[in-house]
Amino acid sequence: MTKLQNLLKGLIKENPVLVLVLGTCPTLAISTSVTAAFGMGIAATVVLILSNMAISALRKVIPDTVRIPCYITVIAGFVTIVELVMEAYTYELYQSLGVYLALIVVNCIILGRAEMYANKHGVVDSAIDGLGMGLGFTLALCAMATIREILGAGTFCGMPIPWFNDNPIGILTMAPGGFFVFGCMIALVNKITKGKAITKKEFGCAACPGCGKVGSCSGKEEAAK
Amino acid sequence: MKTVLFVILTAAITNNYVLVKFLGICPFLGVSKKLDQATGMSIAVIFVEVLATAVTWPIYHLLLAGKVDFTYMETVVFILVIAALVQLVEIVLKRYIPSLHKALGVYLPLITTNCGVLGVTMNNISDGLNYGDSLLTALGCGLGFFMAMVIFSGVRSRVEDAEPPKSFEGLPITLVSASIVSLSFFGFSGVLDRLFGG
Amino acid sequence: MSEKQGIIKAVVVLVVICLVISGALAVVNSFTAPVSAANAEARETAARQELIPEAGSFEQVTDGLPENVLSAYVGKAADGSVAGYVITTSGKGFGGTIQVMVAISPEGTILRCKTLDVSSETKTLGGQTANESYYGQYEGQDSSLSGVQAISGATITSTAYKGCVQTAFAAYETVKEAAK
Repeated sequence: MTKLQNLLKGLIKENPVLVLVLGTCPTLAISTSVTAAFGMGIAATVVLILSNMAISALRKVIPDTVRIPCYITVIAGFVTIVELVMEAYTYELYQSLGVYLALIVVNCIILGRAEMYANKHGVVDSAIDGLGMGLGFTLALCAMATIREILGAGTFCGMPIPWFNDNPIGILTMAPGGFFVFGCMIALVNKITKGKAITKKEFGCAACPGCGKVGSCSGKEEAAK
Repeated sequence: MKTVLFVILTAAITNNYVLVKFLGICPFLGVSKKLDQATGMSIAVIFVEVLATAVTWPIYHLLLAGKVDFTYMETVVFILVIAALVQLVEIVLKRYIPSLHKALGVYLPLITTNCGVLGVTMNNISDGLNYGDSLLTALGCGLGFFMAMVIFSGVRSRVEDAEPPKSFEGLPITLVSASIVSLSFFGFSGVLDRLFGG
Repeated sequence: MSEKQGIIKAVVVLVVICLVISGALAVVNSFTAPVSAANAEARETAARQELIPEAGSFEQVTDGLPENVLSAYVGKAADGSVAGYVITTSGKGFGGTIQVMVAISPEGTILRCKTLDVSSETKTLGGQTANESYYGQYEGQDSSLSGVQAISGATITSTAYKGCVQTAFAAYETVKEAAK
């Protein structure tokens, strides 16, 4: 796989939100406004690149038994740094993201990439993977926010749009609208790719690599049987 | 008594973590397929949420926000405490209550990265709640999660039998039904306001 | 023996990572904290200025304030006379804590009200307290607040909001004394 392919796979083929179905919480919560969605996407991308690089660089040092706590600490550290910087320089964005900014720590995408990619590949590849995945996340988030903001509030990035502004569908900016739009978007991706993109229709425990505990989780499930 | 009920009900219903605030969606979509799994996961979540709040609140107020300001360490400390706590609970359960461990053991490791748990502990701090209210809120959030899971697993077992358009099969139709379940929770907000507002 | 070494190595690595991260955070924080504090200060000053445009300078009052009062300032006009008092209070709303900033004239009527934080309330109900149609009705009221209508369906938030304003009036007497 060339570096370009590595970058592009995160955008469409393995889009973390629409195909791998990771990081659903921020996707649903933040996608009410395009500005916030973009900020969230960039913040997550920065954390993803940095943590992927750090974990990849440390992959030979970190013992297997404590890798999850180590990853979590590294990720939490980077998230806090991003948080502090945003509080100082982009306060309004920081406020509109609220608690979801700190919750990037438990975002499945980041831990998932650490577990699935960064601890097996070199620093440069991991950084590119992080960039691709982060951009894919941003893209999906912004696409969803565009739909919800234009139809739900009649604005785009806060600017009113004629006609839509007079006829907003308020429910789309609220919780039920989030679930609905997300469902429709995944259905659309299904339709376009004729079902090829969604490799796993079932959304189960084992399908959520972001839990970071894939090994222990599926192992235990088998043991429980 | 009235305030206790109010705190629990607002946390469980009008501010339902899953359906209104979108925290803990992964387990909500992942483990809600069968009723027994949904119940097991929810009980584990209630347990860990209350325990995590009981531990993180004093840590924050006594250690981090003490004389020297370490509040910027909040995220790192909280997530590590939760991870350690989950691990500890698992060991204790395995050693002393094996039957409970058998029922909940599978779900415990998944809870570390459940954003509901971290979300509850951090929201309690940023809302400036006192210790008692924090614990009640954590309990209410856990109960709300339980309720959402149980209701949704019922809805889902019906959806399984339905025949949606091909591209909606699987996850999309699940999300659309989640949307309708979430809509039903909106109705409660006015009821609670009338009950406790007067 | 090797198992023991493995455990020791694991613990050491984890502790070192924690220490390094803590150090990095402390460094970043030492850079950003002053900027954040200065920005917060600037935002508050701007908010106070917005409430009492006539005031040229503000003096903070800290002594003897009632509970739930976050800060209190005396706004002074250019000639040194008191232009008004700005009091920030908090109260318990529907889903969390709400914050209100109230400007009271020397005569004891409300000049303007500003909703600082109602993010914990339901957006479509209690969140409406952030709209001009709600907070605007406080303008010109005295401490009885007799002309204020609650938002229907959001009684709890409305009551909490009114409570915040009443707290501000409770602090008003103290602040007035201190300004003399």
